[in-house]
Amino acid sequence: MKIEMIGLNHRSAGLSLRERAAVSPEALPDLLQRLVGHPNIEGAVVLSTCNRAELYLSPTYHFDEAELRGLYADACGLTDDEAQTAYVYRDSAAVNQLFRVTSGLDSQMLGEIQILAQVKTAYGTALELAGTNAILNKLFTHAIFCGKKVRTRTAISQGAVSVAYAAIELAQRLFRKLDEKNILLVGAGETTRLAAKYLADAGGANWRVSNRTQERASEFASTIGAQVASFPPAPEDLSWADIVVCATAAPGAVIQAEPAKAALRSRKRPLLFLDLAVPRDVDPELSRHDEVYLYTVDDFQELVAANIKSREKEAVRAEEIVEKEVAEFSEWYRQNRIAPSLQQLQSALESIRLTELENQAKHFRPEDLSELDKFSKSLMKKVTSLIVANMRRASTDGSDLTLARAIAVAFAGKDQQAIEEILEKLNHELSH
Amino acid sequence: MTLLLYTLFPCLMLVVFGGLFSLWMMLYHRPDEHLEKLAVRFGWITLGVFAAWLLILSIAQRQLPILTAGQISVFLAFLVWMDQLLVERRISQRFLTVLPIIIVTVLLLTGIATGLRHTTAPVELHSPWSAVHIVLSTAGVAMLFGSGVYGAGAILLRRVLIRKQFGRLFSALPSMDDMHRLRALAVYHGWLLITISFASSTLFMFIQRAGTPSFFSHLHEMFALWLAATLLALSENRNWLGDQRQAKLTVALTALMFLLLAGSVTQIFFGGQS
Repeated sequence: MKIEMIGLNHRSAGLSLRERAAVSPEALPDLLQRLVGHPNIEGAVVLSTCNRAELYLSPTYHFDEAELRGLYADACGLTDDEAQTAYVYRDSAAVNQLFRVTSGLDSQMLGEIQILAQVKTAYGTALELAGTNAILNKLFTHAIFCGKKVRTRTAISQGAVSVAYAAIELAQRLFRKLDEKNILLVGAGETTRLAAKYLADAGGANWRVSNRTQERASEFASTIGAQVASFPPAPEDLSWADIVVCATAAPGAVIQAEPAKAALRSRKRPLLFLDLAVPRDVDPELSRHDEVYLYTVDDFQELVAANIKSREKEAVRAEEIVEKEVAEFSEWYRQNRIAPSLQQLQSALESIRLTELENQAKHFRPEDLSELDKFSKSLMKKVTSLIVANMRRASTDGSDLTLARAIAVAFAGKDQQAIEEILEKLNHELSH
Repeated sequence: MTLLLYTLFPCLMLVVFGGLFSLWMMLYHRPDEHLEKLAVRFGWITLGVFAAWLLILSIAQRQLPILTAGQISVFLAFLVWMDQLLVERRISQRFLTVLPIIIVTVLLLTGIATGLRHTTAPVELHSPWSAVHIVLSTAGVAMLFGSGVYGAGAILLRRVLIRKQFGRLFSALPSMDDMHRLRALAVYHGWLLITISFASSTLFMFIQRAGTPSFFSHLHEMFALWLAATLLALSENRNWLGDQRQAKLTVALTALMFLLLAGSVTQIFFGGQS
């Protein structure tokens, strides 16, 4: 197999080194051109994200490791010493690395989904700039397929793994669509604003803001198109709300049980309290009401911990899928080693077919020529499939390329240089 | 043919639902979207086989499968499974698919145990009016079963959320909103079917008064069933109790309605005229 990769990620390098190794989108076309312009590189893909800077290469012949590190240092603007910290994987280990990356198994946050889109973009850019060859095309399409498969067949990407998303996940367990729900924000600090942003991303649209300082409440309300409510929230604000997000710096409970009970007495639909404040803003007594669901920072952390644990369990299944897909890709690659001979065979047979068709055309009526063409194609197809099947079997079962070599020689015509090139490629394949 | 219709097919259905149960339990423990799609497809195939069986049975006996208590039970199982699949098209749900499978399996077992083969079915069951009445009532009860499942689901989810048990159930149940919405829909549809069934039967009984014995031999049970369904639908519509209490009431009344249906069936097949 002739696939190599070299790179740095969040485990092998600190942030400052990763920052320097990162390739900006503007610099990418130039770098790809330089890489594919290298005499030993047939294709290249550059994957650069905040957590990794990796080069995937399809070389004509395997690089010497020192040469590869030099190439990486040059491509990413690192010193030779810095390039020494990069990891290098070859052949099926490189395939395994890419498949683990697309599956989210190599991510800082296990199972994250952005990486799949990032790999797609990196491959798309390389493809657009003609930086890939058949091997890399197959490798990346298979890696993307593997990433999708892992996410549909396991729960590795399910469940929030940050406190903010945990709050959203809890809201979504109660409410199907947040755009139909009324959200009361208590406090106007950073935490409330961040929570409002996440809720808005999840569809939240109807807001009220309650804050001790009215000016800050008005200023915050104007940024999200909210109404200003009194502070502490009046019973009618609590009656109006479906979700209450609290994150004030008040020393005691802002929403106390007794006044709130009046608002809740006649309540017949769920009310979710997301209490992000420490000390807590909502009196825990309220959670005794049938329709009240109260969560604090500790609960969000507990949910995050449970989700991480569940993702770790799923990672075992994900690794199994990756392993299977790597084996499948390797199998494809092994079969594809005979490609040079195959091309030679097909083009030689097609040339013979066309010549013979032309020679024999005069013996047939014009209306029969299409039938003759069909017959000759069918005949050639049958002969080719028989030879190809045996070549594949020999090359995969016993890594025997003798037949492929013989076919290459037999169908190469008189072009000695072409024969030598094909034989050299076949020999190199066999040596790896 | 008799062996196929009354023994082999019901046993095959039991085996198939056993397989579906295992599949959904596995999906509950090991989420897999691909397998879930296959399981849903398998569910539709099962419904197709079930429908084919009931159709052949209907053709063979020249009447819908309502001629024995066992046949009504099996017919109800078919409707419950159809309801479940229709809901499944709108809302993906892992755990709440297991409950309808259990209900269907219990109904199938009850059907087989009480007997599917009719030797002498009550003469009034051969009337087309009785067929309409039984089909509508059974469909109504199937709907109300559905509402019971969603009521139970809402109670279960509340328990999970309040106890902060962020495990499999937390992610496998549909959202509380979905469960309340589906419960309400099922209650309204169930009530409508039972009301039409009750009204049409009463009308027929009135028209038929001078004729031969009425098929409507379980008036009290039917009226109580309609009353329970009406109470449930009214309470749902007026939102008297709030979502959680309504869910509890739905579960309780669904259980009561099942008993009333069982009482009606007993009256038809084993009791006298009312």
